[in-house]
Amino acid sequence: MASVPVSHLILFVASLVIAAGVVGTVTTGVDRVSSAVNDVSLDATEELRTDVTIISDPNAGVYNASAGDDGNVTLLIKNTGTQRLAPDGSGIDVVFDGTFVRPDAMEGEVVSTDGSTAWSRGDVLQLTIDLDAVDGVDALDEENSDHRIYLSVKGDEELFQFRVEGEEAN
Amino acid sequence: MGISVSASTAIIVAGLFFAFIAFYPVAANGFERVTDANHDVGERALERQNTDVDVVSATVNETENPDELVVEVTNDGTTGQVVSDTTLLVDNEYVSLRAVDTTVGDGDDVSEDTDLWLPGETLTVTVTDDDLDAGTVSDTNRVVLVTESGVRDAANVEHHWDDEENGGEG
Repeated sequence: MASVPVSHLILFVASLVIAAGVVGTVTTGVDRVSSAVNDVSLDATEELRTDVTIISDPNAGVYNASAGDDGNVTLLIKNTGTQRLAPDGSGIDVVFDGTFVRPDAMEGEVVSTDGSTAWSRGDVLQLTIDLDAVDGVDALDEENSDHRIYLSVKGDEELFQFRVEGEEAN
Repeated sequence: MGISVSASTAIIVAGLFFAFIAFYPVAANGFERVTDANHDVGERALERQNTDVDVVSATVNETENPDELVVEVTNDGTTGQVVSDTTLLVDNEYVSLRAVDTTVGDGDDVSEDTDLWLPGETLTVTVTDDDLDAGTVSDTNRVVLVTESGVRDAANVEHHWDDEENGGEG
């Protein structure tokens, strides 16, 4: 009859081991979910706080035909949110006439403060898109043409449309 | 049998309890962070709704002061603006309002030193040739004034010639 307490003991130890295993798995899972929730809340906060506005006047000449072979386009973008952004425009994704502009084809500079290390609320960033470095886009001034620039900063999307007047005399 | 069930149940309950203790502050912090950001979005929207500016005039007196562009803007909204956070663009070129002469007044009282531009007051900006990197004020066509929250107004530059024979504007 000694086998009954022994089998009870075995079952007891086994139940403890299984319970500890379940608890370990659950705790690890909950830790993982916690850190994901933390990241999601940080991302959501950044997206909510980010707001930029393209303040360039489409009627005042954003295209400079004489820079390089294809010219360049200069946009002035104001940070109207409360999120501090990179002062060199590195967080901006730009699509020009349906073509993605690689980061090395554009140059950003905060013009409202000298030597600024952040693009804060109220500051203006001057973004110059060098069309020489954008594949599939040639010089714009050969004929009257409409163009669209779409940019996205941390989920905030902006659209800018402008027209380039052709050189009719030629 | 009875003691194995209650022991393993106790282990699992304790494990769930600790997992919840670890998860709760993270979730609460994240939720609060996003709530704060949402509140901030609402505040910014309210500020934008209450902001209104109107570019009354942008003139160059070509006879008397051909190198001075005078821009007059009234604050028609109900929020006070900070002059140094306001942006002036002349022909798509950023003009720092810290570097040029600005006055704020409501007709009787005119101050050159103040940085506050309160509702009902008129901001007068005098841009000279030296403030522009490219070109002179005589060649300018468009001015845009942008407030901190991104509300903006634009106007065409009027060039006046005092011509006595024509009895005024040329």
